[in-house]
Amino acid sequence: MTRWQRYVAFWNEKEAPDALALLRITLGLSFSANLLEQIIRGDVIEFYAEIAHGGIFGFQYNSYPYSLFQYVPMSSGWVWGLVLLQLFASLTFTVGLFTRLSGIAIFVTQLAFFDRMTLFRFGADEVYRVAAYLMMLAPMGAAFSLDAAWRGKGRAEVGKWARRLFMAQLAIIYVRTGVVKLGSTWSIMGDWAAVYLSVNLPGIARWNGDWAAHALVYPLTQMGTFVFSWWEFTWFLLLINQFLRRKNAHKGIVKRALARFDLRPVYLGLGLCMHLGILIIMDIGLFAIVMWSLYPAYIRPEEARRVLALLFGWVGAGRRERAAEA
Amino acid sequence: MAEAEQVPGQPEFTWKQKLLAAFVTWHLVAVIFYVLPYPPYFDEATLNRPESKEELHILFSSLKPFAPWWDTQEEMQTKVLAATRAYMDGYFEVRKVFEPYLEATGSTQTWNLFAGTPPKYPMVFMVDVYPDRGTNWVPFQDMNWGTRDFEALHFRHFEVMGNLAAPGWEAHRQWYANYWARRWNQLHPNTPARWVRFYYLRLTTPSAAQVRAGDSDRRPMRVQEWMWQVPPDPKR
Repeated sequence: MTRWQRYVAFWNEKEAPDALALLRITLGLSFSANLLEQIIRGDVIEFYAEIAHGGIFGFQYNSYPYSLFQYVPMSSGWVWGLVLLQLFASLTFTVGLFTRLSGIAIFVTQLAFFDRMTLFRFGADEVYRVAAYLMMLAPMGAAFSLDAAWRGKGRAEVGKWARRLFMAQLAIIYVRTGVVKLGSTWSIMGDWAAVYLSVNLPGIARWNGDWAAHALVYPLTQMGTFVFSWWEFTWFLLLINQFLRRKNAHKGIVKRALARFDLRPVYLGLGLCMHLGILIIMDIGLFAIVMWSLYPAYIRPEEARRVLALLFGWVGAGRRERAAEA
Repeated sequence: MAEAEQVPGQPEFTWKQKLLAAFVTWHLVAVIFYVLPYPPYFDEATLNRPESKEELHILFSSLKPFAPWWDTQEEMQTKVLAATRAYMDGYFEVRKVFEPYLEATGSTQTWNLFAGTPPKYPMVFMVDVYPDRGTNWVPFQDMNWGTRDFEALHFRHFEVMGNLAAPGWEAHRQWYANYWARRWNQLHPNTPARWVRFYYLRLTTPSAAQVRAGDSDRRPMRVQEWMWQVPPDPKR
């Protein structure tokens, strides 16, 4: 095969849909949690409605043409309608009922919400928004879904491209975040003090950060600064590692070394620890949740099947195969 | 455990398969180009801030020994900043090719929001209200740690407060002031807010060694003050 043919073949490879099913569930739950947090905290009207209807900020400076709010009034009725629509779509997406339509509804509403909350939004909202586009594109309802069980939409195989796009997106987030950690405090020039300074930010850190200056704690914050800045920056290695491990044998020392060990336990494990630490120490909403919800993109179908079977006691393989045969 | 390689048996591909490969490539190229790094704030005002100057001094004094072809640290800094500006001009010009697609698909992304350098001089937002029939300003929101109002607010308001410290956002500041006036009025219906005042306290985070030596003083310094008269409430 020519290089182009190999390239086209790579993006058209197939796999069992279980990994996408697990990803669908985690993402759907994550979107639901994001909306429930806003509803419980009483933010919905303040964030999205016009001032006359109880909102905090006017809409006149928002010029994003793809926002629904350009076309519907920002009254409390419409705002609640769209929020409840996304919540409903997130739940149907989670259980895989009218999955594609649910993905479209989540995507369209998320664009509107993200644009409207200009001053309120933070990193997690951006993650939700870029994930929503991929959720809409990917065939995520092919297994462990009501679409497969009730509507005959189950498939034995789906394209690997979808999961690979999620993998790439997660790597892009981490690598880009690592690349811009150029300030002196991320290195020896600034005493590796970035984590210490982070836990001393009023408004982000949950408590006064004096505790981190303790003689036993400060070195740990320095170690955290070193480990997690390099962990983020080198996330592309995980992608290369997973790409190379598709084959059993490689020419060249570098390729063999990169493919030798499965790096997922290291990168995903450190990610779980880092986000858990952030969740405990800092008040930045559901950032950890949305990042974790993307991690199943790195889980292989056979592993996902075991996880799903373990979680739900629902062995979907036979059901999916029967649906596919039908 | 390595996965077995899966390739289609046919060397020729359908137009759908080729289109899929082309689309995925386009998407990834667009996103990767869009996230190429650049300084989020590169205007003269930002570069002249004490924090920026301190940071640039640390950076270039550390790098200068590795760049002997520049005579001085200042020359190195000038040349590197000029090159960065040229890079940014070219970068933003080429980025326009991808922007229509990325904007339509909600895929614009920068990941500066949680990635930058944590400031040594964080800002704390304060809200004062001058009530009807009052004789002085009354503190209403205090974003220092441990205050009741710190507990009452959640992180999204801290995002707003951080954003409002940046240049621009005049209308938004006033809307936010009116919002705090409405909240004051809910709590104090008999003495509604007449004026609202925002200001920031610029803190200096003490080093770990200073804290261990017993000096936890953050040396609050009052900066950036705004004041608005609250418009009459039509419902009253």
